Amino acid sequence: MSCLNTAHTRGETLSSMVGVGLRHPHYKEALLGSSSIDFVEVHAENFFAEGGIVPAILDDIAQQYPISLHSTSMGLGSAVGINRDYLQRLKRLSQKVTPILISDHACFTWSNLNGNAVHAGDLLPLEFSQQNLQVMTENVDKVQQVLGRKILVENLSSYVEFRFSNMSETEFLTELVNRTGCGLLVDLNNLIVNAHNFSDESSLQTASQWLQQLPTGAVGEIHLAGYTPVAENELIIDDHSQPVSDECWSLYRTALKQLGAVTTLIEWDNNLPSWPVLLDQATKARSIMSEIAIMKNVPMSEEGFLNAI
Amino acid sequence: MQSELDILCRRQEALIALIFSEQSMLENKEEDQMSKGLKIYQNNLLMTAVRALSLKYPVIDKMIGREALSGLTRKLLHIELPASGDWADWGEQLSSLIMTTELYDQHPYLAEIASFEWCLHETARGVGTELNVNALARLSEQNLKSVFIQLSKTLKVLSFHYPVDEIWMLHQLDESQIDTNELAVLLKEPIELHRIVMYQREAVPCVERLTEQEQAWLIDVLAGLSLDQLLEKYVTFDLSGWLSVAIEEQWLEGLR
Repeated sequence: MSCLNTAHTRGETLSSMVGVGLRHPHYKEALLGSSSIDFVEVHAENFFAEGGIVPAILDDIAQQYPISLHSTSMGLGSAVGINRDYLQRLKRLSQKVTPILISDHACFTWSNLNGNAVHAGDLLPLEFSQQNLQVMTENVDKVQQVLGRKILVENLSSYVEFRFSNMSETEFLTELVNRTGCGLLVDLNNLIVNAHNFSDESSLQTASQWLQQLPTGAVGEIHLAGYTPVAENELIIDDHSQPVSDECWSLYRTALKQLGAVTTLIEWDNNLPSWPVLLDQATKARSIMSEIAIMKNVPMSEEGFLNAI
Repeated sequence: MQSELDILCRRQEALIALIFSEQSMLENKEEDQMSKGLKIYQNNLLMTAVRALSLKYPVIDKMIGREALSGLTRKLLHIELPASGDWADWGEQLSSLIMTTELYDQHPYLAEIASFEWCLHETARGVGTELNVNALARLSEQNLKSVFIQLSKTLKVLSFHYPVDEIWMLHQLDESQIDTNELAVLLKEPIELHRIVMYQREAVPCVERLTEQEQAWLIDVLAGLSLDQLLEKYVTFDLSGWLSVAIEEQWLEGLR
């Protein structure tokens, strides 16, 4: 697969790469000179424009870094299916940049409102039911066929829970992996946010238990992020506006011990720090990954997603 | 009888309807978990939509302020549903929405500025085409009835009552540097039409003023008049001078 070739050109294997989310205010610095990161993740929709300066910017980024395409609008769990034009735009973009990874979320976005087609503009939560699993399976299959490659599906932070769910999130995702062959993108911050918002147990304990229920070899990427603290009894919003939280670093260690080295991304979307501060977060992730690898005494490239491809 | 898929569709629609529902945003006072969660989705939608509009309409944002823009955004979400999965495609109807509000009564220029900014946004994202130099050889053909000028697909011919291009340029300055007297002159009751060509040059949107004749010429070119018809209609028109500008400014795609 082309994604592996691209990753290897930097002397890294995909499973030990560390990257950052690249957002508009950082373009200039990211393109000036070298940096310590192995890849950048961009939001696919930000590069859908086929004319103007946007394609040239993406070309420049792709010259310097392997790119992971993270889309936020695909709505893989949408019962009405995925908009065909959207998928074609994503396909064109994917063909243009040959990303090392393509990912989106276990959520729905496409629906109808008053008889008109609508896109929610947000990542809306799924019922974890057999019917929604069937919908998700068909959609993921279709996307993987159109794109001609495997995608990663990310667990969501959610602010409502449905009484219609009759399976756990991990049962749902495990079955999705089994049925479609997709990989998983585990957002550790989302696990912590959900645990804070919906669990009576300690968030770390809840999130660790969640991780233990994942299928072996399915995790292709980890997202790390922080959130704005809130008052007691308020729901935490997954705003990606802070440094990776201590809880998230702690859960990252747990995840690496369990999963082995996994491609890792620092996700910071709002209240952006300076570029060097963002890179420092990536450096910290890399040092934790090395430390865990030494403790486990296994080569960083031998485990994780590579075996699953 | 509804299938399970239909039932799932209806439930997803119901959540979207709640999120987009203005009534629920204003009147939902219950503080249970579901209501709190719903409010987060409602706020997310509004904030994302406001941000999307502010990126496309930076001058409108500057002139009316974020609070007024939020109010317009809330209304626009009910008139023009986001439907493509890319927020960059949403917001075209802001100008017509402004014309239905009190803002328009007090500040009639806002609708034209919004219209100008949307065109600028579209031009910035449009796909420019390279000039087909070989096609220019058709100019030497004897029968110009079958020769047609092809303009760049990013080119737009526009007319405004207010000098929106100048108002827009003035707002590229920091707020403290904007000359309020100059702005007041630009915003006063319009007396003449301002003719504009908007196009993409070196991948960047550009704007030029046009004379009445230049505008009419471009409109006729876009309408598909042959070169023969154009030269007959515009007897004194300087075709070679115009062609050189059109090539330089990347208005021209070629001749067919």
